[in-house]
Amino acid sequence: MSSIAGNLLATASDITDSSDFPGDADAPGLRALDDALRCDICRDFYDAPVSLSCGHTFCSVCIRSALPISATCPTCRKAVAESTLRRNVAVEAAVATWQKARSLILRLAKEDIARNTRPQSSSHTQRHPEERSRKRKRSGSSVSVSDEIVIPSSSPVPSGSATPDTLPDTVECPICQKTVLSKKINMHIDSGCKRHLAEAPSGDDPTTMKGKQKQRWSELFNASNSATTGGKNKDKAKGKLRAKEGEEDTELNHIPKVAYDIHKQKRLVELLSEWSLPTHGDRNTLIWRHSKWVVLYNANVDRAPENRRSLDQLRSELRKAEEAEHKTRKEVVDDPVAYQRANKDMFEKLTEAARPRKPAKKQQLERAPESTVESMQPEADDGE
Amino acid sequence: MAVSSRRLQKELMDIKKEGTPVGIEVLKADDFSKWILSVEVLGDTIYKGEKFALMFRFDNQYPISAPAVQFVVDDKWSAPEHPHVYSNGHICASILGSEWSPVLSVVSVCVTIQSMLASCKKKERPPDNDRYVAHAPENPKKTRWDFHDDNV
Repeated sequence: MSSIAGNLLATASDITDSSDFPGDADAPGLRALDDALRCDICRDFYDAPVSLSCGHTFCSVCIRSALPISATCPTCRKAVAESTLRRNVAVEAAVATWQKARSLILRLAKEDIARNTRPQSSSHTQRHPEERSRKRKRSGSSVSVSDEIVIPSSSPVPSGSATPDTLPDTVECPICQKTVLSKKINMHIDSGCKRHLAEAPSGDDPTTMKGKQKQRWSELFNASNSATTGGKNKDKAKGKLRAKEGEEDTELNHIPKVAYDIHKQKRLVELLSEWSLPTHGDRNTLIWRHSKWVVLYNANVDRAPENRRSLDQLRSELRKAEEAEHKTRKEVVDDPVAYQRANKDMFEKLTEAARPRKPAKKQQLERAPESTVESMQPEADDGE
Repeated sequence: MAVSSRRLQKELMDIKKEGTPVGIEVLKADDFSKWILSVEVLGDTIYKGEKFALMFRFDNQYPISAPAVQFVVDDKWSAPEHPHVYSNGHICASILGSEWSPVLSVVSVCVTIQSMLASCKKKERPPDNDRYVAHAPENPKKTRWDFHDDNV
């Protein structure tokens, strides 16, 4: 344990952890509460929490990064499709509230322990009631905060999810996972998943779509207000539909996933420039950059509107991620000194073998073996 | 700061404040690319009194991607004799490959390996040990593992 370097933790002052709180003996439940509001992947407080169909919740960025590698719930391993992720507004509100109250509660908990260990302290009786009242006041205000967040943002979620389900003859696009009319699916895929979406009436026959949509909205309306009849509230439904459309103008949509393998480099550059992202680098860099952007952007959509970041902020996040990626890749993969030491014998053998034939190129060869050695080690094709 | 460093910092804080499970100790954790932990199997098992060192190597994608985990094999440490552990220290365990989940952590991997050793009844090397070790890549993550034994 002593070998844990202090400087690794010294930089961690901004990192909070549930173990900041005293254990269950002194402050029952506080540590568990702090833990319950953290994502199991990043161990930070939930940022834009989304729920899976199995009920487990993760940060949007975390789960969207993990799903392409394994399309299962990280906790229970049930199959998950990215399109089924749903914002968890209640958890988001709880996290925001807890983060506000956390430092106060932490201080109170620590003071409480200090008091209990020094019961002879004279200020004990005086301080106690004052803190009680402060605590109560605080929790009262936090309730109103959570109310503010929950109510307005909860409405678009069910409506967005209900619309595609009620459409007849629709299929889920295997690439972008959006709902598409089954007869249009080929045209949709040919268009690079940009057109013929079932939710967007623009690409389809406008009159039938409009009629269907109206019908759907009135169905929804009836479902929520069973007292009114379908015929009478036609006008009301229309008004509601219009209001809804206005809302959806400000409502952001997720970027569909891109099947990078079928696109040429030129198209990748186009995809990046659509969002004014840098277009330098080789094919893999472009793909990495765009897929990372999709994750960051879609996670941002999952945030409560008041917490959303601007596109510029997202771009700088992407830039930082790319810098970090570049840095670590260099450190981990080709740490030259250690690599040279580990493969010294191999290098010497190779240099020796090359020397009699090409003495002039000796220096070049000494650097070259790094890649040569790697390619000489075949992938083992079987486990135990 | 990269996500991997942040997550590892948290794991380190946890270890520092709450300690490690019995039989597991941190030997080296002074950067965010390589940690070494010792694992000892407790109780009455065939590895009684033996201690092994597990090396973790992390890339920038941790915990989304699995860490590279293997037993340290040098003049001080050796790999346990186990049907899933090759003499070069590489481990054939599904949670280090296809079954990795980002909710797992360094300590939870150590506990899994510890129980893998504890449930072993007979000390032996994998049947293809010599063939694998002769051609094994330096990083066990580069091996394409084929998991077929659920017994041990």
